[in-house]
Amino acid sequence: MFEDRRIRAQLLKGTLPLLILATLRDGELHGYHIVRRIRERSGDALTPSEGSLYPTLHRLEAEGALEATWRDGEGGPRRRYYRLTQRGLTALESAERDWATFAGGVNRVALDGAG
Amino acid sequence: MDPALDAYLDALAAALDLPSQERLEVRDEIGAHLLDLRSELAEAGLTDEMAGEEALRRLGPPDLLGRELTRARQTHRALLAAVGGATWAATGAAFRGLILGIAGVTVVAMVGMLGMAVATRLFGNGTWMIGDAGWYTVLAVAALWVAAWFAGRVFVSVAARGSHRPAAQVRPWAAAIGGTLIAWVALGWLTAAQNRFSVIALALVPAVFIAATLTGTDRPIERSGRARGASLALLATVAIAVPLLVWMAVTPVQVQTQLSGVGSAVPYASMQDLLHATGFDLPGRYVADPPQLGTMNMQVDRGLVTGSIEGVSAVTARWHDLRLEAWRATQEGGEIDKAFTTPFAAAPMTIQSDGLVGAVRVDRTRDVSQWVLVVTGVAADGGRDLIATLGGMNSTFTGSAWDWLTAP
Repeated sequence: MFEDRRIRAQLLKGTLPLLILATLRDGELHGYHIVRRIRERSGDALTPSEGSLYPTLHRLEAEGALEATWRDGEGGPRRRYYRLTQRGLTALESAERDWATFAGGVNRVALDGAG
Repeated sequence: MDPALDAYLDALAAALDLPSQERLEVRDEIGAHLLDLRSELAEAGLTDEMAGEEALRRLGPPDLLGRELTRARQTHRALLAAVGGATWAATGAAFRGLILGIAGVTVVAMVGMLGMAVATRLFGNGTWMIGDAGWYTVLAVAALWVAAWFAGRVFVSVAARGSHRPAAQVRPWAAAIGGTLIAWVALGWLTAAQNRFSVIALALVPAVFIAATLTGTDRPIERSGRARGASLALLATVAIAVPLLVWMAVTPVQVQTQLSGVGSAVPYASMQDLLHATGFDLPGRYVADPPQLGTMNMQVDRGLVTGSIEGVSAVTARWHDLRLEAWRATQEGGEIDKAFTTPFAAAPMTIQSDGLVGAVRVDRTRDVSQWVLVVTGVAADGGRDLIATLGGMNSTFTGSAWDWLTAP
């Protein structure tokens, strides 16, 4: 359904900062690899749009949650690698708690209520 | 790169309202992502052309992406941090500019003094000197011009980069707000010897700052090691000179005079003729039988002149409405300037202990460079008499530029 796609897109957009921070917990990555890692870990359920990814990355960097450095590519163009800062780690832990509370509430209403 | 991808990236860069260096970085970042995505799609079976089109479709319209990327960087937090950082950086730059300006002014002053010495030797009579201390203010303010220029350029550069805004957005705000603050300090707060040229020089300080901000860029301003070393050397020079100057400025000048006898080597037929010739009949009438007075004192402390006379009863027995008056004097002989028929400053004398004391400011009237201090009083017949002359000095208007502009 068209509405389902829109809702899914809005949900993905709203959770994108959490997904990015969680993906970078294991080490630094550049934008393209962040998208691939999210897709792989979600089993292809989540595919962030590039149009949303980079504004979110830059916003997280401006807020101090991420740091970025340029690295020369092997035989290719340079790429910008992002890594978590201490502030970003704190924000990630807080976002994970908030998500757990939110998801738990939705599950209780939508799934347990239907049963 | 593929012409279609290049065209997309050019449109994206044009849509970014960011400093030029950041536009380049965003272009490179998105460009690398497009190449990786196109390769992935080509490996999945699409042709190169279709892979490129699909990659561009996933990124979305370049103007929309450009606006989102601009909005993501231009946060309120970044703006506040940038203003604070730019103010701090501009203050440091102003200090460095001031040191450089002082060095330049010192060189100019030394060359000027050398010129005066040569002129004295060549042309003989008299001495060449600057009589109006306001000109020293002009020299000092010239150093502030350099400081203002440095501050303006650095402020725009640091504020633009810190707030992720192009310099063209930052310049008008920096010029308006910074220019207003600097104008308030330069014209309303800084106190110094003033003449019309020093007031003009001070008015140029905010003008120089505004000119510097309007021509500033968002490119980073680098300083060489040699420039830093020169700044330190000049700082050391200023650190030694400034305390000396402050000590000289706060030390009051004391002058003592005593009333001398009338008639010694006077080329005039009478004392009245002498007083008329020298203009001293303007403050009051000649007193043929002056009272026996004690010590008379005149003390000058940063523009405030205090005059005192010992022997109250000798004066108050004959006069009332006693006043201390400051009159403009001529440059040549210390005579009263007869172009002015009233004192430029006056104050009542009051009785303290066994003396009469009064105080007037001589540094808050424009165009007063020489003055004479007298004591006058009203006699029983209602006429005002000249009781005593305490002495005279040269001085300069001292205050802010605003004080000078609004002074009588």
